[in-house]
Amino acid sequence: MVDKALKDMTFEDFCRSVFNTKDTFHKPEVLKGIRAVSTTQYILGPSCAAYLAELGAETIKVELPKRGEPMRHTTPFNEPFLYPLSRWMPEKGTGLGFFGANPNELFLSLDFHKPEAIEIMKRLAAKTDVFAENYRAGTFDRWGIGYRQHVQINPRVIYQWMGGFGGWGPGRNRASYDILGQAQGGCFSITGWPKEYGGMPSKQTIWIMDYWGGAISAFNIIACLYWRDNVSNKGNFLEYSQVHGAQRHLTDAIALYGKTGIVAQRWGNWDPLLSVHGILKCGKSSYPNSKNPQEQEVGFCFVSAFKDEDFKKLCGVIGNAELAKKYPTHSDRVGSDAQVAIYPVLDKWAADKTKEEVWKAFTGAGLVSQPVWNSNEAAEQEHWHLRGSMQWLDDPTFGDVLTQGVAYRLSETPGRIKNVFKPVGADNEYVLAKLCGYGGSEIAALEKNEII
Amino acid sequence: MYLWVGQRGQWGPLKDQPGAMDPVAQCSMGFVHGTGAPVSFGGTPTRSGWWLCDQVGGTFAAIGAMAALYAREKFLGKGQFVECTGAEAVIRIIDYNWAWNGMDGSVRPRYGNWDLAINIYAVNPCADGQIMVGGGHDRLWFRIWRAAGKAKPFLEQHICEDPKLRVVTDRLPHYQQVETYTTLVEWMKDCTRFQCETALQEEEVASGGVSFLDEVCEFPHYKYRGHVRLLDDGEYGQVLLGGSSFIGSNTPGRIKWIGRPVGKDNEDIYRGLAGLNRQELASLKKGGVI
Repeated sequence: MVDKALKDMTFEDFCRSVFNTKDTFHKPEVLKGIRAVSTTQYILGPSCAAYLAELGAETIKVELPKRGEPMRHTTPFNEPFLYPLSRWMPEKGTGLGFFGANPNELFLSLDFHKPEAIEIMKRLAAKTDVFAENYRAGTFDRWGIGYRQHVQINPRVIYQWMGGFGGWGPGRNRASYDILGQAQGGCFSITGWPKEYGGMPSKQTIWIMDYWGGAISAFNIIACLYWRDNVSNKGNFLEYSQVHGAQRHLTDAIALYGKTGIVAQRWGNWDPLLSVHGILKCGKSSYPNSKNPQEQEVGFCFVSAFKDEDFKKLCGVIGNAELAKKYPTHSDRVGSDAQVAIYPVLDKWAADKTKEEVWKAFTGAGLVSQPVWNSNEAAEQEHWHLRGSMQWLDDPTFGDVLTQGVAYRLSETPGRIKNVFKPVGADNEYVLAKLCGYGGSEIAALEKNEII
Repeated sequence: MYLWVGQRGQWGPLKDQPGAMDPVAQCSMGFVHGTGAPVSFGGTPTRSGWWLCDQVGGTFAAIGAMAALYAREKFLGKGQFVECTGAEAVIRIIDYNWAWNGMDGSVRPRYGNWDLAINIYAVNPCADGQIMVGGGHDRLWFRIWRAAGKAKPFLEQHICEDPKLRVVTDRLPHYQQVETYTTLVEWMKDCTRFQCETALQEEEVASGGVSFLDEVCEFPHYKYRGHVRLLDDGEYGQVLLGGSSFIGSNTPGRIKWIGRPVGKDNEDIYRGLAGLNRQELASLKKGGVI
């Protein structure tokens, strides 16, 4: 039974009310009471733990003392941006590379190379629901803190290993990074313009195979928590290979190769399956007087008109009835020769327009269109801020920061960002006292001996 | 759990027009603008060659639904409304773009197959295609140059003796990246991907050629692990596909079929869940309802 106030609302208002970001902190967290230990670095492992932390898991990030994990020192032009690195190094900072993959966590510093550290790891392992690591396959096992040892003291643990090529198989020993996952996974080879158009296989600019692999792993972990708590009372040993993630989603190209031997190629900003469904170059810059070279550039705008009636509308907008007559059906338009002929006509029409003018003309005719926004234009959209996917956060350590929010909306138990990250070793005392039973003088000794 | 997925959202000032698809999301949040080479390298904004926002959005939508399911069983006792969009999923994972923009209005520029924040960490040309080499920190940096130096000692010398490239942080400015990669390609241009890979892996440096789809499909490691596998589909016969990436000791993911013809399971569903009988089914069918 829907109450009357709810029934009379427009759908827009209903959504705005159930997903209202102002209510987020009045609602429960999904993973409250779940503990995760994350001995991860770079992006793949940390982002996996971060997605759990967004949902309320008590996530303990373990990193090396002093400098912390390498991603803290990865940043454009090496500008650290966020100070301090730790209470021991107030003059050093953390780079932007660390941003986005470590919110809401507790930060413990620990030097695994010392035997005392292994003891601490074992005490943490006994009390954790999720254990995530991305060291070279078998390293933790050798150190006595791998899944085999974990499961002896904590049979309900969900142990997630993440890495490049997987923990077993002929290529298991190869090291990997995001960009290697892109290159060897196959998605690199199909992005960018063809050679004839001056292009080459291209990287997806973001660390996509890492961030997205972390999401796939986080999904698997929550699914395993569900299975553990509702079905089996058992943990799981999980493994994620980042090249595997690439292959899983390239399945249409893989099927094409399997059936026909055809190797999918790059098709620039157009679409091999749909036409017109591509990005046009708009010859005029939207900010010709800007001092920022990024903004002086000419604009680009996406338009979709692959259905026959939409293509007719498109031809109407550009005032070219000939084109509509020449390519009346989708099969007339989708071949490579046709696309190579059609897009330059559209680009020519857009050559004396800004992306906004093009956008307006297309949407005015009822076509789906979207200008290519740079990160500044995107950050200025009220839409993302209203929905909580982007937000200005008053971070307890770093002050006002613009940060991404949680990727998805949940009406009853929304995820949330409490802080973007903390300095190295910020929660040493809290974690060691609460979970490992160390007193103040013991913790001080651990610090003095450079174990934490 | 009621799950809605889309490109930019079903509410808010930019809510989806009907028919919006993946590229709308890619263009609307900075991904396309940031991908591809800079203008000075002849590049333009570039969309991903695959449906990146759909894939990533789908994954986060699944996390949302799974989280809702977990909450329902664990403490909530009821379902909820879940919404996820392709654009917002990639907003979540587009590195540090927002933080940087928020600090000083910076627009993260395109940087082609290189990386603003790490040198060496890039894909560059070699004799038979392109190859990725990665190693920004000293341990790997010197190993990379040792590998190059085995074939062309003067290249190793050129880099390692340059005082301006001695410190990690000094290597990041654009002109130093140009210097580094020009020198590296001086070695790689005469070697195939396999030769480069072999030389670099001897030094335990992460490296790998840009693989085309046929090379991916035929790569022994992937076949062995089931990343790429042949499925004997009940409807469609032998299909090559990417196997489930959920590998777990107790609950591995699995692909049972790739899809089924439209309405294949009508009988089961309408009889089993909706309690329809043969006559009712026949009349719905006749009316074009199902």
